[in-house]
Amino acid sequence: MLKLENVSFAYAINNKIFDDINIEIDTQEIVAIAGRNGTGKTTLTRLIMGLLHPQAGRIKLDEMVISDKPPYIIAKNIGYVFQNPDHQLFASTVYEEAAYAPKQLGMTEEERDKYVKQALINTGLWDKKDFMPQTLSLGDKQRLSIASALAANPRILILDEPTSGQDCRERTVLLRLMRKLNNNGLGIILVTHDMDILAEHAHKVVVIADKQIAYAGTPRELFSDEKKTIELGLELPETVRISKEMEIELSLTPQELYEKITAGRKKNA
Amino acid sequence: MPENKKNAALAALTKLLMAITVSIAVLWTNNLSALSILTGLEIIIALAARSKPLWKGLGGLAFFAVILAVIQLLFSAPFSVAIGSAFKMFIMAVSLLILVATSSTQEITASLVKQCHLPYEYAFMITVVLRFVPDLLKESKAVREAQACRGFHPAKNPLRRIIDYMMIIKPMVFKAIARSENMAISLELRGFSHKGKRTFLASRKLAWLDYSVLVINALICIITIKSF
Repeated sequence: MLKLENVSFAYAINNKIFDDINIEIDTQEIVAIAGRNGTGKTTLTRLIMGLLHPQAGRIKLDEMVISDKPPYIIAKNIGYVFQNPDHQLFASTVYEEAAYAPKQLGMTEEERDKYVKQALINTGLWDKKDFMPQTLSLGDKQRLSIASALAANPRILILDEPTSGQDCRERTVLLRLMRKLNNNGLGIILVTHDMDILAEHAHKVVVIADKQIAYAGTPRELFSDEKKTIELGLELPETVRISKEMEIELSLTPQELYEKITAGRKKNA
Repeated sequence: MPENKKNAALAALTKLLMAITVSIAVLWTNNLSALSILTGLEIIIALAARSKPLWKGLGGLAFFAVILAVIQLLFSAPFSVAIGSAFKMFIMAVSLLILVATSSTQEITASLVKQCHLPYEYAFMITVVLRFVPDLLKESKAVREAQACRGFHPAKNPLRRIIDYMMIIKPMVFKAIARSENMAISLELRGFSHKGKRTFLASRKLAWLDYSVLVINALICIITIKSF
């Protein structure tokens, strides 16, 4: 369990981003962090990662306090994938790029090879292991960023807007990968503006507004209250909107929507 | 555009000429008293500019000047040479910092082209370099953070540290190349190579205040050099 206890943070005096927030994140689930622009979604993940330190309160991963630890210590347990993969690519091959974190974190050569291979296979990049990272497509670069975080064998992976700028196919591949990794036991913290992704993939949603955790619960509970969703600066996902228009039970995924529509038709027939 | 740049009392050309005059003066003399007076002059001008980034930069440059002096003293340079070169570096850097921190890049380009008659392509190159400094600083922070999340932790050994920093430099170089390519294309698509007459929004003629400051600045430099 990842816990934020009474955390307060400000970039400058009189400019508090978080004021005494408390939250528990299950490290087995996909937890989406949502909110309007500038509410502190990325700040929250940076606090978790040790890139920023809270002025009050503490962050714990199980019983270990991590809010006073530097990022290279936290990286052993939590991987971070930035929105822009170009910020980290430097090696001459995909394999070397993925092997950077295990090397830095002091893994043995055997462990390193094992985790790097596993990460590249999981992300579908094993066939491209000798390619130069700079020559990859944006989708491949993003998956390489994920692979290089996975190679450190973390328990949690933070994905900051992972689908931004991706085409439809790459987006689907990435989201499938995220589900697969979660099914294999990896906790995911997903920062997103995309309500369709959030509705379809997240087990829990954390909404930040007015320096506080304005909502923490399931997507179904959140989207069943349209007024609250709008007040929090979010939009209803398409499937929820269609469900409401058709006056059928709330559906979070296209599959669920399809099943409810066909069930309704059969009932009417 | 920041408020202090928008309403700067002096034209960019004035500040550029002041920087050149002061730089010539400090290269001319090795006298520590003269250099101290010129340092004081630059600090007064910098404080009068009422620009917070400039004041911050002033602190950073002072720190580097001290480091420069200490390194030279450690390598057995005479005291006057070590302190003198620190003063010289500080004065020249501050004079350029005053220009950059209190003038918009458009105004600097317009001054270089219209008043100094520098070809637009060269003036634009200078402008682009100045324009990208804050971006590069921001980017280096982003790259450092991305690598820190993968366990980047520079070694204590200075040689090893240099090698470690390649992980920061390489992504920045790749990004800079991609960025310059994008920028070149975007400029060409907006008629950069067009050979017609150019006009400048930021063009500014010298006023009596500019001429007065230039004369006073030149006189202080000449008197200081001649007196010591």
